[in-house]
Amino acid sequence: MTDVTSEFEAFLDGFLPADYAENYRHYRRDVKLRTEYQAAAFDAGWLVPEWGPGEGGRGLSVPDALAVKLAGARRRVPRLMNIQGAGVAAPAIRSYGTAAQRARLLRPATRGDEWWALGMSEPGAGSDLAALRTTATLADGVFTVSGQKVWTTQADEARWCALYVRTDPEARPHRGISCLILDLRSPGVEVRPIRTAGPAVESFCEVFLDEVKVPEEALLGPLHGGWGVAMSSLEHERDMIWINTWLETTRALEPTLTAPELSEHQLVRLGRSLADAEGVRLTGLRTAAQRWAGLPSPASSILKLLGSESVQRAALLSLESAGARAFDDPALFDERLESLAATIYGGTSEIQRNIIAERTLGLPKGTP
Amino acid sequence: MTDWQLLAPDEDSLALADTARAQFRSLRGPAVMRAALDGGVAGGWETVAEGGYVDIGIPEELGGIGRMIDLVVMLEEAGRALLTAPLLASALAFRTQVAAGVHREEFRRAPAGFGIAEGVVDEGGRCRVERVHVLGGHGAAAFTLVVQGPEQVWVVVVDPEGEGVEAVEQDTLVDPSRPLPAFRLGHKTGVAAAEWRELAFGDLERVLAGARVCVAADLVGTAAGALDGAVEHVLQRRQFGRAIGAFQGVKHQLADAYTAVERARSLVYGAALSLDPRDCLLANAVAAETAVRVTSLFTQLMGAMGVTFEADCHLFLRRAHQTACLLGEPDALYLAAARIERRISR
Repeated sequence: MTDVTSEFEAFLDGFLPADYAENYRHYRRDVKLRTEYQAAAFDAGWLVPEWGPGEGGRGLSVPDALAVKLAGARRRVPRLMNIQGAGVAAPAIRSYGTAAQRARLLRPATRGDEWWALGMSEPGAGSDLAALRTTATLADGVFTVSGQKVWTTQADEARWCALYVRTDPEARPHRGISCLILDLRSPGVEVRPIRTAGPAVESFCEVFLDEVKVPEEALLGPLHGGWGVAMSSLEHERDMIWINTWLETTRALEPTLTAPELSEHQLVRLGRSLADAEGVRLTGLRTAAQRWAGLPSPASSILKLLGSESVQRAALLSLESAGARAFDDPALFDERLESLAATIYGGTSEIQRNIIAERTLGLPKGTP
Repeated sequence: MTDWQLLAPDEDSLALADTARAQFRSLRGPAVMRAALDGGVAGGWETVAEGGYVDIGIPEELGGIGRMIDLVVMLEEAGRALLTAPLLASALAFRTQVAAGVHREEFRRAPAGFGIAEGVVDEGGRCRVERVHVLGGHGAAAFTLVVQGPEQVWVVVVDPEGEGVEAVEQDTLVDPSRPLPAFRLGHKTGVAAAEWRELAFGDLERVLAGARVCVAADLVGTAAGALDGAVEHVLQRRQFGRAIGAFQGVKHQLADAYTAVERARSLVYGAALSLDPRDCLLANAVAAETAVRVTSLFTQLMGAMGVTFEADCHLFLRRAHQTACLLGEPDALYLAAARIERRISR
């Protein structure tokens, strides 16, 4: 263990309750602890260790920052309440934001003080994001926005929304999109939560936009350059999400690992899931190592694909190994249901396969 | 440098992989392999020996060079080229000898055979095995065998020309290009071993760890070679007015195959660095399943050509199937890994 990770471990020892590891299943849903953890980790510079002091980090090198994140995963640090704020919006603001945007928005987004929603999907634009039709017209320094978003995670609790809108209807679909920072308290915004299939699935919403006024200063990145903002922020998420899916996979396997008796068939399935967890961890690390060494690395889409499918198999195994005990333990089914969302959100597995086939294997573009 | 940074092969490893790829390609080939299938003799040991490949992954104090990761990238190239020379057999033999503490430098001057079987070795080192398939068994100067008894395990090195060694099955049905002849040892009085070491049964996976990494690396290479072949074919074959690689039904299967190969490669690199028995079992199992799956897909995407003698895909399929169960079938390996993990967790 390096000095920097032992310092981080000391921080965790000071912050987490003494019975945290033992009662993780309970703490996993502890909203107060999760909220306080994010703020404390931000203040201490452990939340995004590779960023600078004051940004939630301490300017660590990529390898040291990764070592800290892995140590955090091993200790199962509390999950962020609003992952798309610190994980997607903050990196986009940091890369594309103006000085004023960074000064106003970066800290609260990363620290979790202000939540973010991502306004991407629409009724007619899910996987086909470039087909989005919410329009924004710019006149006298103000965008007027009308349209509808859907599957907008946590829009009912968020303050801000990274809203993708069509600003140039004449251009080719992905050349006419811009990203606006929408204050969800603006007049003309109506947010309607959608009831999810189970309590563990994160809440998502419909967002209706009726002639909403957004000041020109709230444009994030170049005008008509929203596609690039979307791709780079999702890429950022895909690069790191494997640490979470590795953690979730190993966590889902725990009941099976310690179950008193398993059939040989269940042991074989457990072995396969152990390989899944190791496959995610080692592919994530190998990708990071190859990038760090300046070598070509496996496509980041495979981490999304492997991670989400591993979590699903592990959740299925825990539910099925429990047999009738699952009737008395609602969390097992809820986690199974939650795991099914993993191959849908953040780009479906089908889309990841198209990306791998076309960009990595060089197969023809288009989808007959 | 942290451990995970070693998962990226450095410049030395990459240079080795390039050299091996070029050299193995010149030895390969579908033509060599087809000739072997028709009963021709596959050579190539001299090239492998002169290239210094057999010293890779052997500790320096035993006269070796290179690290496990070098052995892995080199064997991956051998698997990709469907190498017929007995390089994998030799690597398995030498790694196992080293792990059991019975290696001698002179063993590396000649091709070696390797096998696992049930049997017994007495206190004087006389070995009895009813039937053992020996990879590289034809032309080997020594057999390294892992002999599993009811309560112990032995690693023995025996002379194939020695008294009591009988060839019982010459034909190799699945992949004749890398023969797996069967032998019976010491039916009556036992065969005297040149070297032997008795181990506790619980040490079996520790001794086999390096061998599992070698087999897994070879299998990853075969899977990667089949993936390359499949991609090349779907870009060139046209139906309905376009390359068949444009269809999502084809694209998604190849994307999954690519993902599977990268996942298997990650597990093999990780296992090569840790040499932990659980990691090596998992890498072996995953590489075996991946090789069978990707070589099968290669056959499917070739259409009717896929089941002709002329197409390369059956060569990959034969190699994958034979190598996949060399050190135990995947389900048995998953089971063993799960048992190890449960012992640690409880």
